Amino acid sequence: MCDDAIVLCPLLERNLEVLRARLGAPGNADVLIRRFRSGAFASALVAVDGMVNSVLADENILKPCMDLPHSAGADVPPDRRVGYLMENAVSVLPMKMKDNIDEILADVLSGQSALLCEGCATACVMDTRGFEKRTIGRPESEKVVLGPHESFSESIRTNITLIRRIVQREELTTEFVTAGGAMKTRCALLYLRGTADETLLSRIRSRIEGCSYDFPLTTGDVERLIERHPLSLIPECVRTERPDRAASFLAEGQIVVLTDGSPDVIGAPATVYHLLHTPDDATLRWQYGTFLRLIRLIGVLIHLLLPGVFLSILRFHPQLLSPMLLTSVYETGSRVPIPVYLEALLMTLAFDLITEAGLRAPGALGSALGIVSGLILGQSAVSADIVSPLLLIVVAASGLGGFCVPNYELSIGLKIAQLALMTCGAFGGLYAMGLCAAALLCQLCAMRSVGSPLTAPVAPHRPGNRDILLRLPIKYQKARAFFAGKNR
Amino acid sequence: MPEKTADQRVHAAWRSRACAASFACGASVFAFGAGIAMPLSLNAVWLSALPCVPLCALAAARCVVLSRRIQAGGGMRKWRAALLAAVMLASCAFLTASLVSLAGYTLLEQARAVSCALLTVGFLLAAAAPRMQGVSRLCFAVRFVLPAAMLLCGLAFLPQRDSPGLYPLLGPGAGPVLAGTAAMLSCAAPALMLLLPLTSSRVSDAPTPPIMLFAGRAAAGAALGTALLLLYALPGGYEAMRARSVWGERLTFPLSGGAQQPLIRMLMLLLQLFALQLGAVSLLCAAEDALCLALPALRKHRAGLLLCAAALAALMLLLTHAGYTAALIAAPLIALPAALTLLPALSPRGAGKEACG
Repeated sequence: MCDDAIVLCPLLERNLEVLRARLGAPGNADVLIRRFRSGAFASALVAVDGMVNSVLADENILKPCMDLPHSAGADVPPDRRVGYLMENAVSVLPMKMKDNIDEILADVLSGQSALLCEGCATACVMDTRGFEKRTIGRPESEKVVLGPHESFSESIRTNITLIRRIVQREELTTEFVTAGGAMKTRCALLYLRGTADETLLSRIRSRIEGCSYDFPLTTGDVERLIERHPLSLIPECVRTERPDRAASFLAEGQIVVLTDGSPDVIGAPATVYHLLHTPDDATLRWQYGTFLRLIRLIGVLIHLLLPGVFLSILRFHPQLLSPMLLTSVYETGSRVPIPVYLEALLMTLAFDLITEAGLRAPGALGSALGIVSGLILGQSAVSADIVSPLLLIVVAASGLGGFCVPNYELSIGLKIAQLALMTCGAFGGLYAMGLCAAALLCQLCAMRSVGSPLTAPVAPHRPGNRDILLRLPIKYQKARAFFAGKNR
Repeated sequence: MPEKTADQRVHAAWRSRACAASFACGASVFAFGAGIAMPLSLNAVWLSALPCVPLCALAAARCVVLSRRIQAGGGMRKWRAALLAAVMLASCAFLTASLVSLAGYTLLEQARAVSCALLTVGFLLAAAAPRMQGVSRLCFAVRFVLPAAMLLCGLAFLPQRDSPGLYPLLGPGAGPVLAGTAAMLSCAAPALMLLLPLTSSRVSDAPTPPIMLFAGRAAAGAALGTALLLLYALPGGYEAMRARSVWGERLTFPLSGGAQQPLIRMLMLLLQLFALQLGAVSLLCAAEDALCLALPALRKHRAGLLLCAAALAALMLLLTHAGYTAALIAAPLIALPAALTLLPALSPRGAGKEACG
């Protein structure tokens, strides 16, 4: 039994030898293996330095065990020694009994401590995690005017606690699953029993557990595992860094997936409308929420269509502009030495460049960089007749519309769609733009999020909550989403 | 998943499919009506299209009946599926020709006809790539918005004063009107897509919803096409309409006193193009489905869709060479294979004869 090294054996020295070999000790300086005498028998504590709370391990495990009189536990059968220590000495919560070496090692590497005893083929794994972590901060990408201002951190345990603090229901269940091959990443599935659909839950679970990549997975990677349309421009799941939003996902019947080491969580299944909602919509009165959603929708349409429509009109359908405006456009455009499509493409890319630089620049420098580069570059480009002022307005308005998109992933997808539509508009006018838009819409309508249609409940129709584009008064929002196990 | 949800899923899939058939019927009625009966003008153009409304409903109802019999019999015969694929492809080519003709006359006047045709086929292929689900759900999503917008824009073209000239429906005018009516009956052919089972294997065995759901939708689509022809016929006088010789020109709404705004004209044009495109994509997807039923090996790597798109591109190149008016002349022939496909549904004993293929 000792030779196959899959499970522990009663020989403490042999067990430690196997663990040392697997962890690379003593060459691996982080591995802590502390042998000590606990009453009438020898024991050992295995942990990883820096991952455990050393004060907790000293005060609650080592000290009480070593303080036992030398005769203590002499009459206890060897296979129950670990249990004896847990009952009489150790004062740590939570504790689990394990005999599988792979599982014990996975726990030790995640910051827990394993207590082994001579003559006992079982180890006690105790949660002594005490590594450094970031404190709960303010959300960066989902800011709100009113409502909670706390966001998730990189610790999965802290994140679960943040959700539990809001959803204080007995149905809230946490399931831990492991994704990845050699480098296992711990994920947690949170759902409301009876509200979340069991089929969807098992689908998500199997997709995560089926992964065998040998690299640490982030929330983005886990999202890719859940998705089934890798070529699509629209994300199939919704991500949030806000505990209150995650709680609303749970209440709706979604399954929330947390990944250890990532400060955001996934809500699945999602609809395309989830990607356009913000927490503000729920905290404000329904009229204000509806108004904001309409503004956002207009912003999205401007972002997506305006540059393409502008190029189409300019190149193929000038009759749509008034003669005065047309004269002005052609006058300013005639001074620009490059074709209008190239001009629009360069300006759009310059706008994206400034946005990206502003995002990556540290702290307050980012906004300053955006303003300065936008103003100086724009003004200089117009003065030097590299771009026409009207195109500058079009690109700026389109970019402004892009900032209305609340979902970061969706905003990037829309930027790509915008470039595609712009190219169609420049070379095929409104006709090609219409064809392209219809093709994109067909793709969108055919998409599914964990098996649930992305455009439902509008197409196809599904009964359930009608909180889609317009925010309704609260009395009309009793029903859960269509994908929930129970509709009310 | 609860059984109720599974039923809802099946029902939703059929409703979406019915909407796609409805759009295709409506688009065909409008495109064909404007092409064939247009020179007759005013009263004749929409009166010729009127018989299409009950015919589309009847075709849809018979399709559902036959579909149930086929399901009970174990499957569709290969020859029937192949015939259905040919009908769908021909209808798709007709609608694509309408699309290209209208675009070539209005939005892309300077473009070469071949480039325009190939561009259209390329985008139709892209829209059909996610299978029937995508386009039928899109049809379902815009089932109220698009017709309402088209009718509103169409109303803007109504004349501010009485239009002169009524075409004689009796006497010397009876012959051309009846000929136009007979030719227009092929517009019910797109309803045949309801004969095809749902693609998803999980829902193919589920019972289909009531016949009226399909018949009502197909009739609504055809009625919309007829209503657009009515709106289309009202503003222009007989002489003005007769002068329109090109098919693409006939598909545009005539200028009236109330519709001087180029923006409304453009919006109407885009809506028309969108409706025609939805119809064409639906028929392309249906042609693929039917072809894969006839030759199941074509399901692999979407060979069925690629084959249909290639056939469509070839047809479009042929039409570009021969002139799009050829599509108008050939389109009534679609009615023959369509009728042949539906023949067993017309006899009460057809049920037992639909053995598996």
